[in-house]
Amino acid sequence: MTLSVRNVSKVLGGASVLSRLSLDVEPGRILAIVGGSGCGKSTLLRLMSGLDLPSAGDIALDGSAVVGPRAEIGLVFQEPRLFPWLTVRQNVGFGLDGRDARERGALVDQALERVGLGERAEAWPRQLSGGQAQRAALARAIVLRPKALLLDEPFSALDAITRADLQDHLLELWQAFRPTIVLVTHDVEEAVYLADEVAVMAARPGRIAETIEVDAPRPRERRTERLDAVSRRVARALDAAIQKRPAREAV
Amino acid sequence: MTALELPSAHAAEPDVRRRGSTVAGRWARPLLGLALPVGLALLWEAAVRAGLSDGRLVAPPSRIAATLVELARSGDLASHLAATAWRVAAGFGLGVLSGTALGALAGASTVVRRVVDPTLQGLRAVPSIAWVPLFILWLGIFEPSKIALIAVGVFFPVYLGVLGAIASVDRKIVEVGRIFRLSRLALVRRILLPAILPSYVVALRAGLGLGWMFVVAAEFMGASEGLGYLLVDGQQLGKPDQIVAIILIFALCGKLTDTVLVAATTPALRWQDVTGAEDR
Repeated sequence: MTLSVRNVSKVLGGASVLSRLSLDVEPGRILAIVGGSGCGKSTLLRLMSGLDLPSAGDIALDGSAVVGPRAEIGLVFQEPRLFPWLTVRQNVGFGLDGRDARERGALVDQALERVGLGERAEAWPRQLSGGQAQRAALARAIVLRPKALLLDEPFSALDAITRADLQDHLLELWQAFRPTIVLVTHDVEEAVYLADEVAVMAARPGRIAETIEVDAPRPRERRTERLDAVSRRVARALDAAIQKRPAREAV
Repeated sequence: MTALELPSAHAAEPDVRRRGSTVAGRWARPLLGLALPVGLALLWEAAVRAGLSDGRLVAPPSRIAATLVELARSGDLASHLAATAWRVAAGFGLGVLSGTALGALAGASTVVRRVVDPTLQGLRAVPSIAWVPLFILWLGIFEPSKIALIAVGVFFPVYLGVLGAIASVDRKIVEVGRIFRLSRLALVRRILLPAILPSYVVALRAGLGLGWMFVVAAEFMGASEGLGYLLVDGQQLGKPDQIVAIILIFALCGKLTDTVLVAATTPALRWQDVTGAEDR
């Protein structure tokens, strides 16, 4: 599904967080958004998810305006946000109310399998490690096979090995049903490894400073010459986007 | 699975050992706690028997036990206990209903909270016993005034507990409900209620404790039956053994009802008891 953001502005508490921001994500593509902290990248993702509404401009999924959360849009937060009073299985099946038990069970099993958490289905959230909890959150977001999947720094709280593992799970499920993915991250290598395209954001007000195509075939390997070259370009663009700010503020 | 998560498969072993030690601990700890009161009771019994004291003001355990048996055999204990238990139940029920309703309303609506909460906080500052003369004027000296007093005592911890629990529900988890497009009703049923349940149980337990406390106060003001009446009776007729016996009954009743409350709510709170240690 095409996710399009047109001239979107967002004012929060009198401050302009996003200003006339536009971007398009083609169906089945992965867009990574990188930017310094406070540049409005999470705000942008919340607008795309329908959790918040833009102050001006439009957000649309295949031409139909996003004015609230939708079943076709899955969202994963930085924290797992599991319901502590439900088991992993019940958490993943939370959005499946109204389906019969067998269908529900099958969908949940499939989602858990896809994130590699099948064995922990009956565990309580408190019993999970950080990586397992985030897997469960990912499974909950994809159980209905959303056409668009939005991720807000989903792996930033995890250790390097778990993070790499979850990144590969994300790629696997993307291969499986090709959702349009928007991933907000501050990790340049993660962005370049996963995405087809990296949007670099500048802050105050938040806007897209530069968009960089990741021209590398899949499946990719980590840290190849080609990806490293793109990473350097993104890192430079990010530096430029961040450094512009103090200079402008001094004026 | 990754190498990182392999240890979880083996983590059960130390866990079992830990549980094994808590089985032993389950008996050792209460026994340790009983050592002091039982020891003191035995010492006092021995002291009275040895003639070191006549035990007139503080009866030895054997005489208290005899008093209890006598009260039970005559049927006095059952009828007085029933009167007191009924008052606690009625007052607790009223207090819980009103506290829950007002707490939920104030928690759900900012307007209600701004209108109602300052007044209730002000009323809370009034020592509850101070209401007694007024309740007696309004409701008479019989059951209604007693139940009203107990209900007032139960109301505040329940009201505050519900209000505080609603205020502290994690906004982030409520947002997940919005992602799943839950209706307002479903949001309350599937997210708010389970989220506030643990603090609600704590509030109910606090309320129940106060219920038992206030029933004594209520029965001190001119009751003709009830455990509190037996206390006053014991004082007026100079029967310290009866007073101590009734105090013991109160202790048992309070502990018993609290245990029942905890046991009744445990299945719904099972998720709280699991530790995160298993995987670390």
